[in-house]
Formats: sequence, structure tokens, C-alpha cells
Amino acid sequence: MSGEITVLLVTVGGKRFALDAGDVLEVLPVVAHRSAGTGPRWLLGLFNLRGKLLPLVDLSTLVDGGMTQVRLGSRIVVMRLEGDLFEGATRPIGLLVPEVAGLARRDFSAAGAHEGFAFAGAPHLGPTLVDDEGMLQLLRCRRLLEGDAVLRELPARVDA
Amino acid sequence: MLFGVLPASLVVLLVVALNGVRAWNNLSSGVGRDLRNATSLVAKEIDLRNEETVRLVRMIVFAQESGQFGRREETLAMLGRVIRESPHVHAAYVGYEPNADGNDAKGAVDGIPPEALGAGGRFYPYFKRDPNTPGGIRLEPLQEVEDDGGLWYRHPKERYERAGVTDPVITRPYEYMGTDIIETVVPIVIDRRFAGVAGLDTALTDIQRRVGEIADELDADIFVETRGRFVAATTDRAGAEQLRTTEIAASALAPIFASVPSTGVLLEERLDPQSGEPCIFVSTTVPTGDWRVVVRKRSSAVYASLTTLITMNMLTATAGIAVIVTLLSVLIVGISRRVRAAQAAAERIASGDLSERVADAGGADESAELVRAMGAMNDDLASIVGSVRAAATRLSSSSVELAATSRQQEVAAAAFGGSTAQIASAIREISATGGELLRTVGAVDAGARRSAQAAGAGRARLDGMAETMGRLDLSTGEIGDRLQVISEKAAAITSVVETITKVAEQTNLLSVNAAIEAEKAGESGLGFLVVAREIRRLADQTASATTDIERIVRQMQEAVAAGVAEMTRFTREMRGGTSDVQRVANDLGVIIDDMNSAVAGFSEVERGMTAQSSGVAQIEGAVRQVADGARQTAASVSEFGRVAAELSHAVAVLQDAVARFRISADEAAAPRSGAADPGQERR
Repeated sequence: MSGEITVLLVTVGGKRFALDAGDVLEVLPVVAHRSAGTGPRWLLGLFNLRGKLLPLVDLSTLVDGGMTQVRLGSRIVVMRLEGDLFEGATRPIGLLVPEVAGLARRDFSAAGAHEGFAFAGAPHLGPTLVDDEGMLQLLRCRRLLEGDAVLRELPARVDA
Repeated sequence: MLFGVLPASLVVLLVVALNGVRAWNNLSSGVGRDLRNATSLVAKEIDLRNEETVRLVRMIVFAQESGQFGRREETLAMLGRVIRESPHVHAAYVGYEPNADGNDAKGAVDGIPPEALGAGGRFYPYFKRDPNTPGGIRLEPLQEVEDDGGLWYRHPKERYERAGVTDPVITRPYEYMGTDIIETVVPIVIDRRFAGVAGLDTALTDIQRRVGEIADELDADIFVETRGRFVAATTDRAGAEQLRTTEIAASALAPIFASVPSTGVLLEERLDPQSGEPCIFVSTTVPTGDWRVVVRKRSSAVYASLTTLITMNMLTATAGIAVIVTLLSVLIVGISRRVRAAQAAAERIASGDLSERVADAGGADESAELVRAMGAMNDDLASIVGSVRAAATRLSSSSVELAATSRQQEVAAAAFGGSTAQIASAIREISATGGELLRTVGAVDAGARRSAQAAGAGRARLDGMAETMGRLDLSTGEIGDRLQVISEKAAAITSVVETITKVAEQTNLLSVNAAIEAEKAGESGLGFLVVAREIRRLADQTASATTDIERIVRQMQEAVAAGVAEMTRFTREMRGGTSDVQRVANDLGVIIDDMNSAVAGFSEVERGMTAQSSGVAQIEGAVRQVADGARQTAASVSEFGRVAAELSHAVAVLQDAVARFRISADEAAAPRSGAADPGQERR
């Protein structure tokens, strides 16, 4: 990665995170979803995107450990994800985000940025930089479902 | 008589008591002095005797130390001389250290008798009186003495070698061949070395005899002690106790000896530990030989003579008192008879009885004069009282007549005054009642008029008020309707604002998605990205504006709702008030009509009463003048009566005072009748 990229700014549990806009397919208002029943905590269920059913995942559970309280600013961000869970294929899923602050251009490879900690259990946590509003951490969305929180709770695989 | 005898007896008793006390003190100090002197004498004699013994021993030692040491024959001769010339010496002896003079080896060869030698020829002569031949002496070999000598030898030797002391050692008494003996031993020192001892045994027989003599003189017991043993005890002669052979510690007298002073003489009175009787103990210490002397005398023996003395004194005093009492009695009887006669006369006069003459008691002293003076006074008093009594009787009858006349007049005047006063008070009451009634009617009339006027004005105002309230009711109804319209409009605004909010929300989402799409389009999408951001900003502004509008409209709706509620409440109260006012106005109308008719009646009553009131006032004035006249008459009559009564009272007091006196024996039946005849007066 080099140079500025366009990112979608989100706020989870009071902390600011950035999602690569290149991975974002669409931003939706929060719509009704069908509960997954006895699945993992972060898997909220399925929702209807213009006739197509997509899994809905709670970003708060993955990043912060809590549950998203739906408010006026809450959104469903439809993203492309890939990984072992999808057997290498790229699948769109919906991320329930507590608040979307807007779009911005940031350079996470600049001199002042911190490249992040390479935890084996959290491959989705990317580098952190400081801008006018405080610290901002990039989330590697494609690897969001490879972390410990997912692997511990997932029985075999997630099928859309 | 008592007052004569008592002081005299007291004086005599006091003298006797003082004499007794002085005699007691003299005797006590005399006995104490005698006992002290006797004790000192015993101590002195023992001291002299012990000193003499010590001097003799020192003489032998001095001879030894001056060259006689080792010359055994001369020494034997000297010992023999000492014992022969000193009757109280029982034995005399010298003891040398083994071969101290270097002559031990040739001891017996030189003609020294073997009885004078100890083991190995050691010089050890012991001369002793021979009890079998009077005045004879003999050498006696000492069985109990071994080479180191007895205690009497060892003790002075050790004392000298330890501390260089050459003082005589005087031993405890012990019995030897039936006689009590003490030893006095002094060390012999040649060239500052202990060479031997010289000593004398002295019998205690003479000390014991001498102490016995002194004790007989004093009628007391004497005890002499040294080193825990009795030297002499005069109680032993009676055979009661053999204290001589008793250790002091085992004797009942031990506490007495514990308090003997080392110098001077101590006299103390305490209970005798042997008999339990109170005794006087006198004690002192003999300096030579450290002996202690105690003299004991029973206190009862001391005080017996004192008791005899006091008894004699008391007998003398009693005889003196008896003589004084007899003389005083004779003197006092004569005086008291005449004084009693004078006292009886004075008491009779004081009680008012002047009828008896006072008899002359005879005699020429002051008490007889007193009786005669009392007689003269009695006669004079009787004459004065007779005159006063006659005058008082005449005055009394006149004052009684006067008082009766004035009382009649007073009664008449009082009756007239009472009648007029009753009439006046009745008229006053009528007048007052009429005036009061008139004032009341006037006040009621005026009040009724004012009430009627006020009620009329009130009714007019109430009518106006009811009309105004009706108009107000209409206005409030209109305001309520208009508020309702405003409320409805506000609701419409709210629904429009909701629509705008939803649109702004959608626009915001659209702009985000558009920007994402523009990003994906790369360079060609950059322009669109800017547009999308602008759209999003506008959408956010719209959303915030609609929030403000919504808030304002909500406040407006609340205000309008409160206004409508207030209006409704006000209208309801207004309608209630209007109907009340109407009802009150009607009631007031009825009252006003009733009052107007009452006012006309009151005026007629008032006129009639005014006329009545003035007539009563005229009658009252006339009656008041009559009553004043009657009151003045009654006052002067009563003043006259009071003066007459005072006069009568004064006469009665005078009569009463005079009546106390009885001037003739005939009056005895009625002494206070007040009707005495002056002709019966007697001088």
C-alpha cells in the first residue's frame, strides 16, 4: 500500500476506524434482519438486499467485544470479504456499524503512522495514524473473519 | 440561804482541791527523785567496786610489764598479797604463754610449787581462798585449763592480737563452788607481744547484800544484769524466783532491760510484766563492766500516803462548811419574815384591796422601815379613790339622759331622709331608662336608613357586573376556538418536517454511496466525488434544520394546549360567578323594601319618647332639692349623738377604773358595782 486511499470512517465504542472504500460495495440504512438463532454472537443473521439474502455481521462484536446499539447514524455497510471461511471465494456480507462518519482520504504508510501489532489472533487490525480528530486505525476488512473471535466460535464454515 | 452557803462551800472545796494537787505533785516528784538517787547510788557503788577490781588487776599487769615478768617467785608472792588484802577478791591468777619467759624448762627445779605450773612447766598459778581455813589461801591446779587456756584466757589474747585492745575483760557471772563469781582479766604485753594474762575472781556476795539493803530502804525491788545474766535480784530473797540463774531473754523482765539507757537515768511508769500491776521503773547503766541496774517500785505503794492526805483535807473542809451554814441561817430567817410581810401588802394593793391596814412588823432595820412605808401608802390611796368614785357617778347619769334625747332625734331625721332618697332614686331610674331608650331608637333609625341606601347602591353595581361577565364569557369562547386552529396547523407542520427529515436521510446515504462509486471509477470519478460530498453536506444541514423546526413546533403546541386548558377553566368559573351575582342582587332588592317600611315606624316612636323624657327630668329636679334638705338635718343630729355617746363612754371608763379599788370591808360582795356612797369612805 502506498499513498492516499479513500476510506469510510466509522466509530465503534468511541474509537475511530477506517474501512478501505475499495472494498465497500454499498452503504444502507439499517433494515430488518432474520436472527441466526444459536450461531456465534457476532453473526446477527440474514438480511434482504434487493431480493438477495446476505449474512449480517456485528462489527462491534468483532472489534470491541460489545453489541451494536442501533441509532439514527447506524448503517449496514455491504462489503466484499474473502478468506478460508469462503474457500478462497469473495463474498459480499453486511457489516452492522454503530456510526458512519463519512468518507476521507488518508495515507496509512506515511511517516507518522504506526504499522500496528502483528497479533496472530487479530490479522484484521491494520496500521494507526493520527489526524485532526485523533487516532484512526485501518481495519483490513477482507481478513475480518480470520481473527480468534471468529475461529473460536465458528463450527465449520459460513455459507452465504 | 442557798446563795450564802454555796459560794462558801465552793471556795473551801477549791482550796482543798488545789492543796491535793500540790501535795500530789510534791509527792510524785519526791518519790521520783528518791528512786533516781537510789538507782544512781547502786550504780555508783557497783562502778566503784568494779573499778577497784580493775585497778588491782592492772597493778599486777603493770608489775609484770615493769620487770616482774619471768620472776615467778615474786609473782606468786604478789598474787598472795593481793588476795589477802582485798576481802572481796576470791581468787588471783597469772597465765603465761608457753615458755614466754624462757623458764618453762626449769620451772619445778627453782622451787616453784607444781600446782602453779601447767603442761611443760608453763607458769600458770591460780591462788584461791581456802574455804576450810579462814583467811587462808592455796594454789589450785586448774583442771579446766588446757594449753590454749579457758575462755577467760583466750578472749583477751584474741582481742589483743586482733585489735591491740588491752581493756579489761569482765565475764558473765557464774557459780563456782557455791558462790557467784565474775572474772576480770587484763592481757600482759611484753615488747608489744601478747605474753600472758593476769586476772582476779571476785565474789558477788557483797554486791548482792548491798543491793538488798537499799531495796529494803526503798520498799522496792532492784535487778542488776550483765551480758544477759542477772548479777543480783532482790526478789530472789523471798524465794519466789531464782532469777540469778535465769537468762534475761528467758525472763519476763526482758522488755524492761531492753529500754535501759546507756547513759543517764530513765524513769518510766508502766505495767510490770511479771505481776501486771502499774509500777515505776528506774534504770541506768554502770560504766565499768557494762552492767545494767533496774529499780522497780509498785505505784500503789507510792499513792497510798497521798490518799490519806486528801482524806484529811476533805474532813476539815466539811466541818468548815457546816459552821458557815448554821450562822447564815440564823441571819437570813429574821430578814425574810419582814420582807414577806411587805410583799403581801404590796400584792394586796396591786389587786385593788385597800380595806386592810398594814400591821407594823417591829424591828429597826431597813426591812422594818419598808413595812411601815407600805402601810402609809395604803391609807392615802384609799382616800383618793373614794372622792373620784362619787364624782364619776353623778356625771354618768347626766350623760345617759343626753344620749337618749339625741338618739330619738336622729331616728326621726334618718326616716325622713330614707324616704326622699328612695323617691329620688326611682325617678332617676325612670329618667335614665327613657333617655337610653330614646338613644337606642334614634340609632336604629339611622342604621336602617344607611343600610337601605347601601343595599340600593350594591344592587346597581351587581347588575353592571353581571353584564360585564356575560361579555367576557363570549370573548373567551372566541379565543379558545382560535387556539384550537393554531394547534391543528402546528400538527400539519410536524408531518411536513418528518417528511423533510426522511428525505435528508436518504440524500445522505445516496451521497455516501455515490462517493464510493466515484472512488471505484478512479480518476474519472473525482469530479463526481466532490459533488457527492457537497450533496452530503447539504443533506446534513437540512437534517439539523428540521430538528430545530421540530423542537420549536413542539414548544408551540405545548403553549397552545396550556392556553386552551386555561381558557376553558376560566370560562367555567365565569359562568358560575355570573349566576351567583344575579341571585344576590335579587335578595338585596327584597331587603331594601322591608327596610324602607321599618324606618317610617321608628320615627313615630322617637317623637313620643322625647316628650316623655323632658317631663321626667323636671320631677327629678324637685325631688333632689327635698332630699338634700333632709340629708343635712340628719347629719347634724347624728353629729350631736356621736358627741353624747363619747361623753357617756368616757364616764364609763372612769367608773370602771375606780371600781377596781375596795375601800371598805362592806363592799366585798360587789366590788365593781360603781355605786359607792362617798359617806362610807374611811381613813
